[in-house]
Amino acid sequence: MQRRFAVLFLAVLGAMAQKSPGKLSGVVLDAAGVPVDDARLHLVDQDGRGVDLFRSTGANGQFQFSDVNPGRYFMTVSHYQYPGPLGGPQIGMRVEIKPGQEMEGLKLRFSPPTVVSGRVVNDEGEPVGDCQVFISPVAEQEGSTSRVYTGTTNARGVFHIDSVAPDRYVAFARCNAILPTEHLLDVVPRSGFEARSSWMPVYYPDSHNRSGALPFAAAPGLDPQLEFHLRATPVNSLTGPLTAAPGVTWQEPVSMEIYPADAGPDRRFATLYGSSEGPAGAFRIPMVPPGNYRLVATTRERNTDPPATASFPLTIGSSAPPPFPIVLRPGIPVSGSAEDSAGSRLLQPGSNVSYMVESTPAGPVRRTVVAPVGNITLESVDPGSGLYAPSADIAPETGRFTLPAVPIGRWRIRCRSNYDLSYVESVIFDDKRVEGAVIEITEAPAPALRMRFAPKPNVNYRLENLPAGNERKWMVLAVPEQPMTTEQDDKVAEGDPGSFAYTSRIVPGRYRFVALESDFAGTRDRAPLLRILTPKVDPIEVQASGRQSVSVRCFTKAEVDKAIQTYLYGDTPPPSAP
Amino acid sequence: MVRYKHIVFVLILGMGRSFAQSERSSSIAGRVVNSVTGAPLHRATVEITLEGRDDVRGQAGTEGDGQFVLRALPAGRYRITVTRPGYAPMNYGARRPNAPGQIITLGANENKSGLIVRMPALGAVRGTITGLPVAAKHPRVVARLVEGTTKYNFGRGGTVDRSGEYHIDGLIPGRYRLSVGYSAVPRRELFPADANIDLNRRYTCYYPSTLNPHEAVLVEIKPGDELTGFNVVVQEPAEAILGIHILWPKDVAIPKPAPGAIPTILSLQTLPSGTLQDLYVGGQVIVAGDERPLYRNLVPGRYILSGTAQLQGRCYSTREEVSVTAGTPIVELPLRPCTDVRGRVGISGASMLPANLTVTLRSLESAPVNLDRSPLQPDGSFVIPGVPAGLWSLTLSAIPPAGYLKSVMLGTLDVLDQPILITSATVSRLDILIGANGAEISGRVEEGVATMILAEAEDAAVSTPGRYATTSVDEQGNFRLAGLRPGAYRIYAFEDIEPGAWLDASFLAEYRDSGKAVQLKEGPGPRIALKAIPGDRPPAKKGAL
Repeated sequence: MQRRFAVLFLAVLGAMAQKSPGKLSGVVLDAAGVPVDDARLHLVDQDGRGVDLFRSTGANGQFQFSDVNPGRYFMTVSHYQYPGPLGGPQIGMRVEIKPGQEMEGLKLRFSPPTVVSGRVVNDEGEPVGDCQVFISPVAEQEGSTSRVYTGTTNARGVFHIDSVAPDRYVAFARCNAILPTEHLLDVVPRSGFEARSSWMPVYYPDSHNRSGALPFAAAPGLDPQLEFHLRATPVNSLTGPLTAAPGVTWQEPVSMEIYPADAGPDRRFATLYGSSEGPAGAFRIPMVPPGNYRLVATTRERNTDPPATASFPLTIGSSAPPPFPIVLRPGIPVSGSAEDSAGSRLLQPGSNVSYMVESTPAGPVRRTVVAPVGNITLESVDPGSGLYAPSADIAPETGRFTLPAVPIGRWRIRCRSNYDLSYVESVIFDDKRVEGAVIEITEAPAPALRMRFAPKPNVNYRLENLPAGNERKWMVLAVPEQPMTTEQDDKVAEGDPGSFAYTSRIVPGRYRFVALESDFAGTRDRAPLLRILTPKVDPIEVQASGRQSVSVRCFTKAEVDKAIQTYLYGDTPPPSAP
Repeated sequence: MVRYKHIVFVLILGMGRSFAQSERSSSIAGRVVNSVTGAPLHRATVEITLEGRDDVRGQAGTEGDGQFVLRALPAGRYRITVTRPGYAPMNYGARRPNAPGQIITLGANENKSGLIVRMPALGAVRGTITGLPVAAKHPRVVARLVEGTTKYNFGRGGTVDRSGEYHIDGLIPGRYRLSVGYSAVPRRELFPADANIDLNRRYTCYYPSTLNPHEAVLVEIKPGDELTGFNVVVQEPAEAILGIHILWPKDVAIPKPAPGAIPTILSLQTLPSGTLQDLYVGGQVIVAGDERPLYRNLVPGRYILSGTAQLQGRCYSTREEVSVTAGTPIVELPLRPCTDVRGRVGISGASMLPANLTVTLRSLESAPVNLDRSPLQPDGSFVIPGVPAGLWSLTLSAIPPAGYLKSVMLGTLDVLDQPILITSATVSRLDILIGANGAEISGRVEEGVATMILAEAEDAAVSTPGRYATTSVDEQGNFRLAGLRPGAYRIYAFEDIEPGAWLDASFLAEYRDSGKAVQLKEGPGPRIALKAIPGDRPPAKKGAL
């Protein structure tokens, strides 16, 4: 009896030792060794999720995790004044906590913050003050969080933007100063003289168009010292009547903007805004330099009705254009249906039905809830256009949907299917098969839209050049070469340590495949990392049917870090590299 | 037979604010240059205004060689102003920014040329702030222009960066008082336990390292200066604690506010007076009915405490002068009903009061109440209801151009040119008299070139801006001042003078003999000849306010 008890006791002790939590503590310092207040520390487990232990440092820079279960973790340290490369956390490291281990006295040091500074001068070499300078990452992905930084020039034309995430950027400068022009003596309205000349906004170093912008790298120790050269340009006001197509009214001010036709996703800082006076009044967009633009106007009512819009290209020259009308038209309903083909089983009778029991004053009631099988959204083909078309759900069983109000223009269809095994194989609009899922809406009534679904093929991923003795979980990421009609997460497979092959079903198309370690890649925005890594692998075509096998190159954290360094600093080592 | 000139005149009046398009055959040309280097300034904005008509203007830009031409001008009298980023705005004919310029008379078919405008480049100052307490938040450096004794609101500020450095640019040449301000929560241990403390405390320290604005060393900015090394070592003030106890009126019930509703509040101002006058302390808010004394920590000195509240739709106010010293005195402020100020406006020298005349009281103690534009009854009487206790300044609007404020009496007290003290005990009537025919004086500067004519009333016992009038001259040196209060004056013609310099009592004393004494009565006055006083004002003494 005693021996059995002793064995039991030892077993219990052993189990406790396995699970006894460890401690992790230390201090976060800046590049000069001064403790950093409000740094955020994040401990995630091997999967890149789950554990979610999270601390902030106080004024003394200290942090402490006191109840950490033994295991392997990835720890990130971030702070808004010290952003990391490409916008991720600046410090990321692996830690292993053994049972009962107390890891104390960790010193985590931030690199010096990245600064982008420079000067804006005019065509005579004189500094220009009160200019706004914007910088945004070079290849901003649609949908990723935007990281636009801005600064203003002082009286000596110098700007200084602090705490920038190391990355490659394009820069844009806009100075709203009104330059003098001749106005003969006359009665002047209270608002003063009409502005007729200003500085032409430029992309660094001196291009009027986005295509001429010169990207530059910003990183610790690498301040690009940008110099912008401005030229004067005539500017004019655009005016005219703001009218409504029959059936359209509004009360809130109409939103009106014009932006350069080639602006792309960073059109934000190149946009010029206009104003309108009262319902069905006149509009005015002041100080417009010559160029090719697109004008977009939308009503902004507070109710949920779809907006009325106007959108058209506009070319402005050096002299004042005559007044022109803006006509706000309602959106056009577009109806359609989803169809199964080639063995797809998106629409299954009874598949999306569930029941909910609700308590009512009359007693419990069973309600039938039928969930849609998917969702259709339209994205404007004009890059960065502010136009918006409300989305539509695909009804189960019938597959029917109606997009209630689509503004006139060209739209790309995106579909999210709630049934993972099907994808949109083709889009038929007005009885014609559509290329690239782009449709054009011109007038009411709009023709019918048909979406044909097919089953996704099965793909087997073979991880190549896995490091020897690999003990980590990897995720396979598929970066498409073409815009996707069916929405798909970039992470297509994830596997346990030790396995060489993963499997999943994905949408057919051309991809570049990359594998990253889950703990390090799981907690951050992956899009910037993929932007750097995908040029290192060849594209692969995934066919529509048949089992396929795809080789996927693995990039360890060390390889990713090195790729980032090369992206920022080129082949030469960075100054005072840590 | 009616003369052509008169018909044109009537037409202009008849069309309201239109501008008669008479023959435009004249022009004005000139050059804009940097006042120190003489380098031409490109893209300066030259604006021309018809004298007396703010809304009739024209504009031209300067070319690369600094030249400008204002074309197609009708004959008339004009003023010209030039602006350019990086430079202080200048009126043509003035020697310094903010000074009025010279009037240009243009005839028909006249092409005037050769006008030169010299623009001073703006300056900048930078330095390091040290000694900020660890808990200091939002440090900000401000450079405020000091001219004569006028309290100027013009200032430029800059933030203090992580390493304590600041940089202020865009400074018009002149003398500045530099200060650093920051917020900090006062230390709890200074106050009685459980005290209701004012947490909104802003501290100010002046360059180079003083809490007293009078001891600040002024920073002189010359055109285009980029001064460095103006460091401020922050001193923390000695704290004296003052407790303020509001005595709410017993006969007024103060309802508890509904949840979510804004409670009735008393707005309390703490205004430094005497030597601390320039210090910014800030006001605070006390919820109505709150019986607890409020504690503030203040730099020792004299203060005026004044508060206003609206209780049950009526205005109540309180005002006390206190001296804050070491220790923790508690001051009781009883709230009493605000005063309804009654009065009457009369006019001498005319049979009827001008139309649209209004009486305005403006608070000199930052009372949060608007008392604008009380209109008059047909017989000239008026009531300004609900005036909180405090010092007020009176303005009358729509006095006709030739008219002047002849007398203002509060009962038997003469308050012309004085701040008017209204208390809850004030029952006297405010009697205001307008003179329809103000004194007028004109003349010519015979010797030298003057940019400013100054008329100083001899009985200006206290330096109040109202007792001085200024005007500028035209190219022939002619000038005219109208709407003056009759009396003894001394008229000066200055070649160059800082606006407001005359408000420093010792300044004009040096030039007394160069001014001409005149006795002015109502109506047109004598024509005098003046000699311009050369040179500009000697540099201010250290710390002059």
